[in-house]
Amino acid sequence: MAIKHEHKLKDVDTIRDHFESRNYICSVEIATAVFLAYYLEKPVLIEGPPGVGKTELAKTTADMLELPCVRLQCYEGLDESKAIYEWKYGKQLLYTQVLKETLGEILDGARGLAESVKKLHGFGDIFFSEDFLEPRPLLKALNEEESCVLLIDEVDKSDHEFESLLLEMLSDYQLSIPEIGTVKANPDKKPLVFLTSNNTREISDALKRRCLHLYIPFPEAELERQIVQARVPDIPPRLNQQLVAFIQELREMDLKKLPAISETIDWARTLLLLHTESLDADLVRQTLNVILKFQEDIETVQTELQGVTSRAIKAS
Amino acid sequence: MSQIHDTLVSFVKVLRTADIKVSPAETLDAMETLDIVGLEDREFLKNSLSLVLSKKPGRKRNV
Repeated sequence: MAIKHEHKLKDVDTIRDHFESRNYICSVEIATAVFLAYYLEKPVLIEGPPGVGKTELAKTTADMLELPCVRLQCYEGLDESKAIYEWKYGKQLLYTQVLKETLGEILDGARGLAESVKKLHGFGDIFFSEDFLEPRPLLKALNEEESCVLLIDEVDKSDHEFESLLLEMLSDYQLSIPEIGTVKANPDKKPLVFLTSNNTREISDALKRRCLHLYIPFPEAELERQIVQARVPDIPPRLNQQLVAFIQELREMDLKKLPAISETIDWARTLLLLHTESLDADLVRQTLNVILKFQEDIETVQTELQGVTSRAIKAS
Repeated sequence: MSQIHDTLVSFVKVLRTADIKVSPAETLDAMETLDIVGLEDREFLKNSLSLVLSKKPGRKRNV
């Protein structure tokens, strides 16, 4: 493989630096996954709780390498025609209408049905050529001459059948279209593939075997502070420490939906807008709905709010 | 086969006894990873092998 900005993938530290300059603060494991994905030419399956930056990783990689990001959002019932290709049925129909008269001329002189059909066969499968093919994300990614980042988002939302459709693409970077043949990626510039999963169901072994497996957990306090600092640069360091300590303690609690990094960042922005210098119990109570999305969770936390807040303040 | 590849094969055998399913294809991936990553940086090597060989979140640390 030899893409334009290969030097940015030289080693793990270089990758981390480039990510950092794009405000994506990542662990060594994450950078290692990107490094190996490129040199082993393998897709990366990213698992982890929602909101830890799985999708963001693919987008940042595309941005860093200045490659287009082709995205396929998975959902229940997603099939070949939406993921790989579709025939432009309308165009096919329109063309047959327009060409009706020409067809008359061509068939002129043909006697009987058998002879007409024979003459038509001479023209091959014009209506099933690339001109009438609507490429969907997977095919589009293969056709990118200068490589691209392919993001297959939330693959756990799709059906089992769809996973099998992906196998050919993931192991050989090619797709078979019966009417046309096999479409292959440029062997020097294969797409970098990222699949994300929220683990709502187990991904099949066949798919896992073809991918590198990266698990992104909730970040450690230190890393989370750096992320908040990068995303909300105006945040006072003391407040940053307090709110991260607060969130970290919430993640230890038994909640329906734990606050993710995206929620930490939203909360930091909220507190900044309110000109907060330091956390206090009242303020936390008023802004709790930014980080917790279930009424039950809010009620659970309300009861222990005083304690958690004072511990978070003490930690700073 | 070089000695390090022998060691890797024994390592994979140990993983299998620990109930981590590793296919022959993944063993080959791991060998390629060794060639790319080298042996100097142990942390780097460990992170790399855990991406290639262990595909369940809870099992990462075992590798």
